[in-house]
Amino acid sequence: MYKRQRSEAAVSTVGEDAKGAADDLHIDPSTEIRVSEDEENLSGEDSEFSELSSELDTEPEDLDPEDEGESGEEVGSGEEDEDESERFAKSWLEAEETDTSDEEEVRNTVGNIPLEWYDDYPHLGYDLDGKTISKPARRDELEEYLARMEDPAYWRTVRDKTTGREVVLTQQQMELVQRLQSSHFPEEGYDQYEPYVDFFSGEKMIHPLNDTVKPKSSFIPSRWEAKQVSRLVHAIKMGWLKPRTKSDRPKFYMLWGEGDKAEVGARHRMHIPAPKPPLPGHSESYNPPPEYLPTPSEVKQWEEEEEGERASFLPHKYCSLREVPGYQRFIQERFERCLDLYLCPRQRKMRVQVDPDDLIPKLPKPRDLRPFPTNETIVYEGHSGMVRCVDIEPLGQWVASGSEDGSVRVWEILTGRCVKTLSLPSPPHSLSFSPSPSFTLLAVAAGGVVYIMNHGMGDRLLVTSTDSRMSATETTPTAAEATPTTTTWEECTAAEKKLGFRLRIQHDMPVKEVVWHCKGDYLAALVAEESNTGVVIHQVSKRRSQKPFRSVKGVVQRIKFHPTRPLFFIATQTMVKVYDLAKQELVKKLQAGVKWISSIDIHPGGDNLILGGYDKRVCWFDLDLSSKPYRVIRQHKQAVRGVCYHPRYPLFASCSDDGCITICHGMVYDDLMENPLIVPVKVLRGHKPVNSLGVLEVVFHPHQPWLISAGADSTLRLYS
Amino acid sequence: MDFETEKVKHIQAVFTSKHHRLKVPDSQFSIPVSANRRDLSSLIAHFLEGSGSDNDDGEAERETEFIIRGDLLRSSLESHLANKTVSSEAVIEIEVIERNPPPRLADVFDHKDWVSGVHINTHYILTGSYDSTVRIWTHDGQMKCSAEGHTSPVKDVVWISSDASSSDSGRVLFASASQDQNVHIWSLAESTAEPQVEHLHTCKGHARSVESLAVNPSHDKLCSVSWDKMLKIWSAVPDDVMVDEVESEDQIALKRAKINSNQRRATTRTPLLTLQGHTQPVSTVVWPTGDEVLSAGMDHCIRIWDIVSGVNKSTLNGPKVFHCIHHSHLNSLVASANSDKLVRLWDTRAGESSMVQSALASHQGWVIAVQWAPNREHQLLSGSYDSSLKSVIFK
Repeated sequence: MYKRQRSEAAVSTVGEDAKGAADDLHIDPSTEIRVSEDEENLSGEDSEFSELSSELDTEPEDLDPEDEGESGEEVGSGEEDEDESERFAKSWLEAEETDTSDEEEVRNTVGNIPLEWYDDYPHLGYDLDGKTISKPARRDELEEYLARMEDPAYWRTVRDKTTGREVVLTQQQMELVQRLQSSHFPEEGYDQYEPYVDFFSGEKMIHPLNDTVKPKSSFIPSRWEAKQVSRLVHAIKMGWLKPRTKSDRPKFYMLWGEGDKAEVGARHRMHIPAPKPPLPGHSESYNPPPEYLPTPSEVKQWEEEEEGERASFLPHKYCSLREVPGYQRFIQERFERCLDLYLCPRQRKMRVQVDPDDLIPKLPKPRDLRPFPTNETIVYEGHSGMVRCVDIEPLGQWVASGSEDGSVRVWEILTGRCVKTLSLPSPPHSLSFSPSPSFTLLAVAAGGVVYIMNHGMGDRLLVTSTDSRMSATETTPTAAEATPTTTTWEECTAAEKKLGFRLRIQHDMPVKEVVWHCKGDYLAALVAEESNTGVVIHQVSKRRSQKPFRSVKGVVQRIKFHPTRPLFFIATQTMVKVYDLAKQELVKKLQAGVKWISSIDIHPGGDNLILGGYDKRVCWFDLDLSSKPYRVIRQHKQAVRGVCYHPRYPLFASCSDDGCITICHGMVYDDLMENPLIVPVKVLRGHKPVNSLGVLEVVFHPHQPWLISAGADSTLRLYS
Repeated sequence: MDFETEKVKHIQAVFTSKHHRLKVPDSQFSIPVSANRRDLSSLIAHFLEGSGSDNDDGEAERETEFIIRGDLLRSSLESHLANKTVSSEAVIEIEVIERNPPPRLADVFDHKDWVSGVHINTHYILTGSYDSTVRIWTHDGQMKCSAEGHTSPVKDVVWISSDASSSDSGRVLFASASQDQNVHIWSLAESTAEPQVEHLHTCKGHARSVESLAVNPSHDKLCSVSWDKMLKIWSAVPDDVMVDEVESEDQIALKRAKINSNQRRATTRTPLLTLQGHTQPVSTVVWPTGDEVLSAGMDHCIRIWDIVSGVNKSTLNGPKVFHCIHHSHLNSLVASANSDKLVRLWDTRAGESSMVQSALASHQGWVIAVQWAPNREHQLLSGSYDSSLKSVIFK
């Protein structure tokens, strides 16, 4: 019984006043008791045991049989019980010798509850007799101070929370507190490494603790169990008993199904938050600063403006919030909001979360793609009108240019020297060097005439042999009646011959463009006719002309021979048609991505084509791939005037009316599976636009990464 | 001292000089950081005057250059030191060197047309022009005579024998290359009062314009390069030298009269050797040693030819088109003018593995011509399309 009391004993707490004491340090009364000499031999186990016994309501039946002996001894003898209680009281007396009052007997019986619950009551709980324990009067500050000053035991006085009394800790208790604070065993001199006396050893003793004979049931198999097992086995055999499968149905579930929930979830996902209105500013204030208030003229202006256009309200000053009237447009705005909600499309815009950098294709850096023209090097000045056409001799020493001032000039590329100037009756539209290495011919289209001239700039032997060949064909009868076209071939006059002109091919309409076939014998001229444009193909060696294309639909813009195969390209405004000259049929139609084609060029490999359009675009076609552009390059700010490929380097250029030339790297791979690599590498400036015309034609040097451009500012420029 | 002001930051400097004529003060100077080369130069000049070591007017005006930490002072001291990350508190050693005065324009040789080639010997200056004539000028700017015979612009001229005294019969040979695909060998007779130019030979064989000429060190062979991608070696010895050595004066006079009456009498020559290998037109050639010719052109490489066997010994690949190369016999480097803003230096002895030794960048346009100084190892002259001529001394 005493143990129970001990466990229920009030927990004395070392208060804050104790010097260096921890808050709410619980001192188990049992440990206090063990301080007395009589119980010093009690071990720590015993204190645990005592707690256990208090929980188990000290029922010896529940205890282990091994423990029975000792506890039986302790509990069993009533004399000892009395002894204990006496000793207990004695120890308390010993502990509180200095305390003269005999009220230490007071015990609070409210149990282990927070004592704050009694904060609002005059009492603290109930004593053993059921009487209220009234709170003792607390000392005021002055008394406290005096006590602190005068009472030598003040520092070891603590307040017992359960009774509200002050308890002066004894020397022993102080030592106990200090031991606990320094994390020592509460008991002084306790040896935790005491040799263990093994009462219940695993060794078989000759005198067992219990010598009863074991019952039979403890060593024969249970018949009942056997019966149970055989029943289960039978049930399994018969298929009545099946292994329990774990049902995936949750323990708790919606009785009325999940459909509603899915719908609600979808609605939540489709939630479109209302746009956040901006926070009101000073002008929305009921009492705005004077600078926000409209002047009378502004008010008048506001009133004159239309409902939709003007600002939704005018700032107005009220001297107090009380005087602010109701918002006039409230109903209207609510209505509009409802209308918005009613009419707003309940469709969420699918936003794709993509890093914009990932969308940019990984391109090599331009500096890894050298060489390409980078700087303006030489300016060829001399023309007085805009330079319309330019072409470079196949060996790359000379460049010829035709200008609006009616002259054709031949320049030395490396030095910029004009070596020849030829005046023509009408400004040349197009000129072209013969690509054949055995002829030194230049074709110039000016007005309705195509001049074939021997420019005389190459090898002397070639120049003379060209002349002799030209005169040899002179003798052959020109089958004028055989040509159904309206072209006539004429020998040039002696004066013209001195300048280098050899033949005139007279057309009835102005010739827009003249191009050579790669062999240097055939020459195609683009003639502007009334309705549409006609293509005439001339054969220089036989002085014959023919019109292979009876009717080309649309206005022909540019023409081009294929560099290797007998193909002929005709670019109309929006379409490029590829004809096979040998089979005389239309092979392919390319849908240009531009509205109006200005120029085309064919890759020296022959499988790719670029075209420039007046709508600022340059399109790259892969002829094997599709009839749609493989890539469209929008680099120019004005109409694209000319495009060209480099004959050797993987470069192409386009020039435009904004005076810029764009150089692109355009690598075509031999592997048919690999698409061409197109990288814009450089924008060259230099030409100044004149009359909204910039660069009219560009041409690459045949064997260097150089570019010569013809500009409307009457100059040619070399970029290297 | 002029610039001792309290407000400006000063640095401590000591002047040194390796030049015996520049006796620079040993004492330590406090110089404002804003001082530039001109200020320092006037300071040194002031000191030299004050010390009285040189009383010459010319010496007093002498300009000086300053080297600080291995670089010439080009801006103010402050920015120079900032570039070098030199603390302005340390005592700075400034080396004083004499400034080379920029060359002055001495004379103008008026041509009617563009001048495409120039070559100087001890007495005369030879120029070739786009008006198809070759002119000979004295060093003081008077036109001695002109040689007309080309039908197209002359592209290059070269003296075959450098001096009249070295050759026989008191005449000097020179050659000219033209766009009319021919190389003409001329002789200039100095013996008579009026110099006479005689057209000795026409070297025919090139199929495009001849761009450049080079003479071998023993002055008896000529190499020409052309747009037809070929190099051709011609004999530069006149035919009549061997035959007419012991002719009497009368015969010579007779012959000269004959020649004067008919200038077209010049004999035609065929090449001794044709070197083929360039894949693009050749633009420049030099002949540094007896059996080695260097040529470069638009195929972006310098080719070294062995004349004896007529093979391309090695090829140095460059990044750009070569306009001009020149070989220095002092340091055996080859300087090249390319179609960019750099002058590149090559060491041809290293063979195919040789890289560009260094590249000098100071021009704004294409460098079109380079020439080594004949007697200074590290001096180089370069001309460019930015209308500037630069003399570079490098170390």
